[in-house]
Amino acid sequence: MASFQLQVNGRQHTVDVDADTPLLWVLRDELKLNGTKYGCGIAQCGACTVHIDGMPIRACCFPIGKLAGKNVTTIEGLSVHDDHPVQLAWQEIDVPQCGYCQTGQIMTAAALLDRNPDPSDECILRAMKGNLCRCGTYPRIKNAIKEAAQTKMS
Amino acid sequence: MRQIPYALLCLSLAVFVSCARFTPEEKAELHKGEEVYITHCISCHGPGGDGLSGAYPTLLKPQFSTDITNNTLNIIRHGSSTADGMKAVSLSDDELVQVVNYIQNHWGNEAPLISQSDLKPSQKL
Amino acid sequence: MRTTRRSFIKVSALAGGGLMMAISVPGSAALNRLLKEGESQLNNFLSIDTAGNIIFTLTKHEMGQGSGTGLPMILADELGADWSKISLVRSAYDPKFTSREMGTTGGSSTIDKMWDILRTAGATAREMLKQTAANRWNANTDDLVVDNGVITNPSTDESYTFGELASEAATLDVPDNPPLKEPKDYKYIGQSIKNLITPEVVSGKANYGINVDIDDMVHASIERCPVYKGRLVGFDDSEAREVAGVIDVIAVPQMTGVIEEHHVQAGVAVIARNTWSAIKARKKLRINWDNGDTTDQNLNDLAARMEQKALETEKPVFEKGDYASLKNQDGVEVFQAIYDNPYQAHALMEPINATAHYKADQCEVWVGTQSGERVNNEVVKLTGLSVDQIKINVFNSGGSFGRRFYADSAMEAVYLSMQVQKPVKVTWTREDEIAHDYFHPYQKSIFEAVISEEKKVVGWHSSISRTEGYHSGSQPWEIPYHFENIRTYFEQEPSIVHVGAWRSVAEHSSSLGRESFIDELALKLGQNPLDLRLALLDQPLNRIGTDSFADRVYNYQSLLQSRYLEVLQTVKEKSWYQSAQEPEKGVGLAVENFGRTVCAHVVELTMNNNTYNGFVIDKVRSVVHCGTVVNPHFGRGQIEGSIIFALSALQYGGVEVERGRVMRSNFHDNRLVRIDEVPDMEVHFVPSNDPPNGLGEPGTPPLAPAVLNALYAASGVRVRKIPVLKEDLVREPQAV
Repeated sequence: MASFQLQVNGRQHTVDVDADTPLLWVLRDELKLNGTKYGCGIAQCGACTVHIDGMPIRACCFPIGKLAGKNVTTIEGLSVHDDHPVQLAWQEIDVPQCGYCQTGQIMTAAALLDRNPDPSDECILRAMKGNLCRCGTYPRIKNAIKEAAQTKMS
Repeated sequence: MRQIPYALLCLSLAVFVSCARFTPEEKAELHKGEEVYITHCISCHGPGGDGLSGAYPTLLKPQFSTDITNNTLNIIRHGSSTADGMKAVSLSDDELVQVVNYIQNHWGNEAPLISQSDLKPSQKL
Repeated sequence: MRTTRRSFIKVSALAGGGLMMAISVPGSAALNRLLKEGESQLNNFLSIDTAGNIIFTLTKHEMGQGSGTGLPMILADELGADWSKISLVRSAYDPKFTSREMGTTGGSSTIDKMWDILRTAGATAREMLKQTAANRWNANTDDLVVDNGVITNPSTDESYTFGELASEAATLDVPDNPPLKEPKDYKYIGQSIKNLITPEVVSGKANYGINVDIDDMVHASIERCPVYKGRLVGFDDSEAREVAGVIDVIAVPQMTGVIEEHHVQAGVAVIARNTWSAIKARKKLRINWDNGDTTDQNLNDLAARMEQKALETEKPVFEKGDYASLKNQDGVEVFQAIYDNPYQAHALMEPINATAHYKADQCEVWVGTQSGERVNNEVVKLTGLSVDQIKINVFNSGGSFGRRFYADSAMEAVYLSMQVQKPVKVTWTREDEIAHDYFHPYQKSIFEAVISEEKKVVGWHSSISRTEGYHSGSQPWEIPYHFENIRTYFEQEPSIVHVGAWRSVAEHSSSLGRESFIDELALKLGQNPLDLRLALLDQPLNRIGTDSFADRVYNYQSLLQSRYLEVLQTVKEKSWYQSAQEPEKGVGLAVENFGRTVCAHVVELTMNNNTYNGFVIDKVRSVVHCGTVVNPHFGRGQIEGSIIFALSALQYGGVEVERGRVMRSNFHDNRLVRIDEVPDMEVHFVPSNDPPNGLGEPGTPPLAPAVLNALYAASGVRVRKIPVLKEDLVREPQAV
């Protein structure tokens, strides 16, 4: 166990955990930020997606010891009033069924639109392929991303 | 002006440095490879390809060979042979070729581009 | 109304002003011996305060099927409420919820069972509010208009809000038989009202069992015996205890609940300060298991045993006419096919978990469950506490599809809490969730038909072999097609893994064979598969007797028949079932009912060797008859979701078992359909004002046979199993 400083959504935290503790479990168990979800632990379902340096990172595989002071953005910090264009589009299209995978979907989608504001359908599928949805809301996810892209651009 | 994320800068600079080597079509394919990398690989192998400073295997190599390339293709397609190692990733044959070409031609890596016809039957879907 | 006894409604004053409605609902005859008959009671079913805020208590489990929005929609419509004033409270389990009407959620039955109750409750409150206004105005209730939470007297333009009337309304007599709205007057029913959980989902604040955090709570991760019902011999925890954060290491015995289906594997639990420490330490346990003789506990051996049983059995469970003598007649042809429908994993996005806090005089559980009642019964057995000393907090779940019907995770949490005397949260890893699933049962189906010289199917036979341990859904002889002679044999085989409910249960198991076989028959007879189905459906029904039970059966069969016909005729009218005009493309059809809901899929696909399975599904078009569609957006979502769920089983499903061990562990080897593999989908609901029937499951069973039929059309290869792999589609070289 060691002491680690980390910055999440712009706020500083100190935690006492082993260096190999995945960021996911630091967020959930130590910082009580439950929006980021556990789904597989091997970076193959995307439920744990956060932003580090603007990239969509699967927190389940990111050891806290390697964070090196970078800021982490979680779903809780994506916007101040839950009004990021992706979040708004998700509400407009009414995407969720059980909702468990959706924060990961939203974080991956938001990162996509940051690096590609006008993605083609092919780009969307390529970027979202790492996020699983067992309820099968995929068609709505795709439509919501297209809607968010439209909103962001106008 | 919008802040460009540091990681994206890392990735893009690498493209910029090596862009003279590639045709526009090849660059387009490499860009797709970058997107595949972001979706499936970046969380462990890092924006710098160095495995998050050693937490995971580095993708940076001084030189490449068909053996190395085949090993990479096999690991992605079938997973690593070590118990706690990487698991097989769900990629199409296109995506597999795109991401391997990207990995082998960034961060100072240089290797000949491969195409689908280079895939062995066991490396195809 | 279809219920034979009415709900009892009581209205009283709400503390702080307003009205509160209590409801008790007679239980229907238990379909499941495990459900108790009796009344369900809920004291605070609905309340309206003086500001007009309406709180509806949800007793049903929200697992993504939309019960948390669909149910209040029905209530709000009848009540005439302002939707923006509706909010939901999720009820903890109450021992007074003893029947499916209130407590258990499953079988795609919620909207069906709750329709009458909700409408009656809404209408009752509405009439009482109207009467209150009418009294004040000295007017006639018939002349008053109710809309959007306001009651208006059109002749004077005076109005009152619900909030202004509620307290006084609570003092009135509860009316019998309040009138219900005509469908033409529906305001919310039939509209795509947005899901009430969406805002909390997109903000990250939606709550699930896995988020539970209790003061002084510890975490548990359990290394369970890898072989079904293997024994724990001993373990060495010295290395595990050295991991920082570890508090204790405790053996968990194999457990069988008061409900036999509830099985807990023997295991060793690491108790730790946080989840990661528990998971990490668990890997360092050295454990000795006694797995017994697992020589034949392999999937292939099981499949062979089941096929042999199905072939050899002569144990009839249903007979109509005289199938046996048909086969001996001159000039007949007997056609037989064997279908293989293997184990399937649930792979829920939210891995199984439960939290429990046991004290000497009370026990509290926090869990996402489809049945608080089952959890309650197991806690009683484990702890010896009485029902009023137990509290079950029910959470929305991150997917369930039948898995969370079982109380095993709660049993683990309660057991461990009893050992450590603290709140314990048991979180299953993904590997645990896959390896120790309650898998969809394995079914081998032999279908056989006798075809007369006149090219008519005169006899239909099926021999079903299914793994023991879970049976629900329709019986294999309940087919909508008419044959004079029907015979069904049914055998069970001990399962090599634990089985349980999996979305669409027995219908998924049986539809694969039935809807493939009917297609094979059609093609054999040179008939269009759609037309053959229509001809076999459109036959006179026979009554089985003259009593009221026979009446109910006849009415049910009649309804189903008309829906099957209407669904398939719609497919025909839309010209969706047309032969593909290009090589390597195929179109396939299948239709199935789940309860009263009938769903047909038309699948279009293209052969493609550059894909994992050897084909790409381009389009699935569906016609569904479920009576009234309460929320079309939700309805479409359930059908689309059911299709994708079924597709995962068809492309990547099955579960390999070797020497008793499940050979899958995570999403790399138990793959699921991803966003880039989704076909274009179009869902058409047959317009209807009939009471609504469920949509959670009906879309799943007909998908696989529709694909298998399309594959035959595209490639000439008849596959009779899922998953369908490239090697199954290898075609015979064409003779030159």
